[in-house]
Order: sequence, then structure tokens, then C-alpha cells
Amino acid sequence: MISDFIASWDLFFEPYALTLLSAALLSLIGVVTAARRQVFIAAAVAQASTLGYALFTLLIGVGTLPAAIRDVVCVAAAVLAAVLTMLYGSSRREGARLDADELTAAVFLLGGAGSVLALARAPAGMEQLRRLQASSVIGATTLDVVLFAVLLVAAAVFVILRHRALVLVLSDPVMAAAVGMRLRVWNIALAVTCGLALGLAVISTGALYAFATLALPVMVAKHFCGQVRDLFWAAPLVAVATVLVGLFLAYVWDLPPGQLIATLLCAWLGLAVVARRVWDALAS
Amino acid sequence: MSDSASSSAPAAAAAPAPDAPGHGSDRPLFALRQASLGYGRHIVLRDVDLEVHAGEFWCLLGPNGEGKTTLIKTLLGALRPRRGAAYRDPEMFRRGRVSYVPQRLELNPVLPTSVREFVLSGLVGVKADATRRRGRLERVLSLVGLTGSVSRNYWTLSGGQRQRAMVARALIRDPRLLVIDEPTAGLDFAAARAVLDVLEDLHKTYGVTIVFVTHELATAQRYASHVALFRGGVVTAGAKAQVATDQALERTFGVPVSVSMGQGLGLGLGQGPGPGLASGTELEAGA
Repeated sequence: MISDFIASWDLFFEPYALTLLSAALLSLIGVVTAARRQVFIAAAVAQASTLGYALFTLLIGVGTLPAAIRDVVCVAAAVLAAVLTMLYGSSRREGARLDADELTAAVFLLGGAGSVLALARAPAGMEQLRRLQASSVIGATTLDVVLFAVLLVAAAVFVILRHRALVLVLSDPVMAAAVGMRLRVWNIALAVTCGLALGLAVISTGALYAFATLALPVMVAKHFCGQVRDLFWAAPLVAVATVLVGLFLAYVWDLPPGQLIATLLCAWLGLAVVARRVWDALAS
Repeated sequence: MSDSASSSAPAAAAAPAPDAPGHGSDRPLFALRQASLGYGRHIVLRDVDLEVHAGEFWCLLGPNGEGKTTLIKTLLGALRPRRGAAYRDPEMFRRGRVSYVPQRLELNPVLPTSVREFVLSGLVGVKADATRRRGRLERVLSLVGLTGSVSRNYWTLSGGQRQRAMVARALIRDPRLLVIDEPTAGLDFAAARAVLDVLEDLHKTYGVTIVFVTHELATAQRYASHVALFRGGVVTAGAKAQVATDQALERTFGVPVSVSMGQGLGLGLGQGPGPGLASGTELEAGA
């Protein structure tokens, strides 16, 4: 059975590689969103990317919309939504009436409702929208794989070189400003990276898978890591290991891999919570 | 100094303008000239004039919500004046010789953060190899009495230990200017005293300039050389003996205060760090 699965890599190399690379990248970014308490940003950004697609389709017409342009529009909308929500969340002002979670919820609802409304009278557009929201990795291309590989390497190198600065920006922005860090640049860079990765992931792997691999690995990793810096390797490790197991089980049982991987990550989370409690009880 | 010069990037190295306050032999580390500070269109403090020089110990005194933290954010470069001018010593800020102890952290408390990692994050921008980093870490943890807690989760520390860890993080970069936002808020007397003793030692032994936000008059009385009083969007700042008069303190806190700053504060509880001083904000009313 395992040898059959290994043999299937020849046929499904791009989808498998994309699933692994996107999981590693999103779980790395998930540490940043978790530190900023913006876990739901993935859901909001996914919806925003569909709104970008819907609005563009409404203006141009679905019949004349090339797939490449559609993808660029989706990613641009995702980046815009991520920048908007992450910048707002990171620049909490005294007396502000909205917190980051509330703004994220508004972006999520606007994206979900707006995209359907925009295409309600365009049957072909609605079909496209449904496909986008429930997309799978089956149609992954070499370009997708290369894109995610480049983004992952860039993100990993950045984290290795600047993890301490990253932790300071996330934990204490005022101190970060005091020691000469350019907060606005950092915030915009983090938001653009998050939006870019999520926007691409939503198009390539689907909203549910993107959200699961962003939010869940860091939740699992937190239970056995003693420092934030350890999360930057532990969360991707959890994600990649789970994806490998998930792909194998999906192959054996002929189940959708994205949903299976999300379920497995939830199962690891439950196990991690129990294991941590047992560990703490034994330690005390 | 022009507005444009004052609104340079946080901690960026702005060249001192020719008309910088105190330009020359007695140049301040930080100065505000007729500065209005706030958020968006909301002005919190108006027409602030203030100069902080090397070796001074400033206490920013006033009730909650009067703009003390706003002034601190401006000092650190996280906030730009809405009007007027701010001057920050370019050499000191460029070399990162400024540290900050916040009132509270933004870090998500469900993230695992060891004391070692937390304190070492204060070294961002400071070039130090692993040996020097370890040496500095041991020194500052010893200074604040947390040597045995280096591997502990920051969030499992007591309130006083967390404050001392924040002080350690600030000290690890050998600051010339240390800015502290209510480090003793919520601490019991012993914990507050431990934190204050560390600060006093830094100031007296190492000559570190300190800007300290507090509600506690007793703390100002014991430690401060200069005081800024915050009330109704107005800041009254200067040498302690000139600024912290009975009338000014009464105006600031809204109740009569029996104070003689030169001879100790008659503020009630008598358990504070100095003779006859209160450890809290309790004031003796009806004077």
C-alpha cells in the first residue's frame, strides 16, 4: 500500500508538492497571526479573494476572463484584505471602536456575501465562484509549486535571520520602535506576505485547507514548545508530517485530502491538549 | 526645529537641526516645543514644553487617561506630534541606547515564551555574539533577581517577576535612557520595592537617565529629580522642587494634598519606600 502511494507521486507530483509546500508556508505564517491574535484572518482573506474575483467578473464578464488574470485579481484582493485587517490590528488606536477580530469578521462577511450578490444574476459566474471556494489541488501546476517553494524559502530564511526582531515586533511594538525598527515597514511587509501566501493558497488548495494549515499546526505546536522561536520550526514540522499522513490516508481510502488533513490536525490538537495536561499533572 | 524634522521615522537618525533645543553643550536627550500630542484628530496634550537631559530622573505624574503614555510614545518615536516640534538626540537613538518598559505587553499570553527568549529580544539591533549575549543575559537577570527563572515560561511568573523580566529586557541593551510606564502598577509592596531599587541603582551607579510614569507621589518624592504633572491636557514640567508644589499637586489629582516635596510626603500609610510615604496613590485629603 505504501509502495503504491509512493508510486503515485509520479502521477501527482505537483498536487502533492503543492500541498506540502503550502502547508509549511502557511503554518510558518500562522505563528505570526497567532501571536497577533488574528487567526481568523485566513478565513476573511479567503472570502476577500472570492469577492475580488466576483467584482472583477461583474465588471469584465466571466466569458472574457482568462484564468491567469482571474488568479491575479483574487490574489490582489486577498493581499488588500490582509493588509487592511493586519494593519488595523497592529495599529490599535486609543478609543478605537473596532478591534482586529471585529474588522476581520466584517471582511469575512463582506467577502462571503458580496461575492455571491455580485454574481447572483450570472449563472456561469456562480459556478466559477463555487469552484473557487471548493477548489482542490488536483489542478496544481509546476508554476504553483515553484511559487510556493520560493515563498517558503524566503519566509524561512527571513525567520532564521530575524526571528528575534520578529518576536519583538509581535510582542512589543513600542519597544520595537524605540530600538529603531521601522514598524510601518514591518507591518506592511508582514501583511503583504500573509495576504500573498493566503491568496495563492486559497486559489491553489481551497479556503478550508488554507485556513486549517495556517491555524492548526501552531495550536498543536504550542503544547510542546517552550519558546516562540521554536514554534517557527515546530509548526511547519507538524503541518508537513500531517500532510504526508493525510495524503497517504486520502490515497488509501479515496477521500478528499484537504478535509482529511484538516480533520487530522484537529485530532492532533485534541491529543496535544490531553498530553500537555498529563505532562503538567506529572510535573507538578 | 521644524515639524518635518520632528516627525522622522521612529528612532531614525535625524541630524540635529540648527535650532534644536539646547543645541550645543547642553543638548537634551529629548525635548518638546509647543507640541500637541494625540491620535488622529484627537489631541490629548497641548502645547507641551519639556526637556530631558542626561542623568535626570523624571517622574510623570497624573491620574489615568491624562496622556502620560501618549507622551512616552512620542518620546520613543512611536507617535508624532500633531503640532509643534519634538527633538530626540540622534546619536543616542541611532545607537539604540534607549529602552522601554511597557505597562503591558501585546504578546499573546497563550504563546509559550521563556524568560531567556523574552529578555534576549531586548538585544534587537545590538551586535553581540553568543558569548556576549549569554554574559549580558546572566548579568541583567542577576541584577533583577531572576537568575533561577531563565527557562521558565514568562506567563507563569508572578506579576512582580514579570515586571522585573521587562526591566531586564530593557537593561540588556545597556541603555542611556530608560523609559518606564507604571512598572509597579498592580504589584504588592515588596515586588514594587524590588523593581524600584533596581531602577535607583541604575540611576545612581550607572547614571542612566530615567523617565518614569507613576501615580505614586511617594515614588516621585523618593526618586525623582524632575517632575511632569498631567492634568486636563496640560503638562507642567521642570525640577521637582519648582513644579511639585502643594497647589500644583492638588490641581493635578483633584483633591487637597498635604505635601512638602523637600521633606517627604505626608501621605498616610507610611509603608512606602521612604520615611512617611505611601506606597499607593492614597492621598491625605482635606488639608
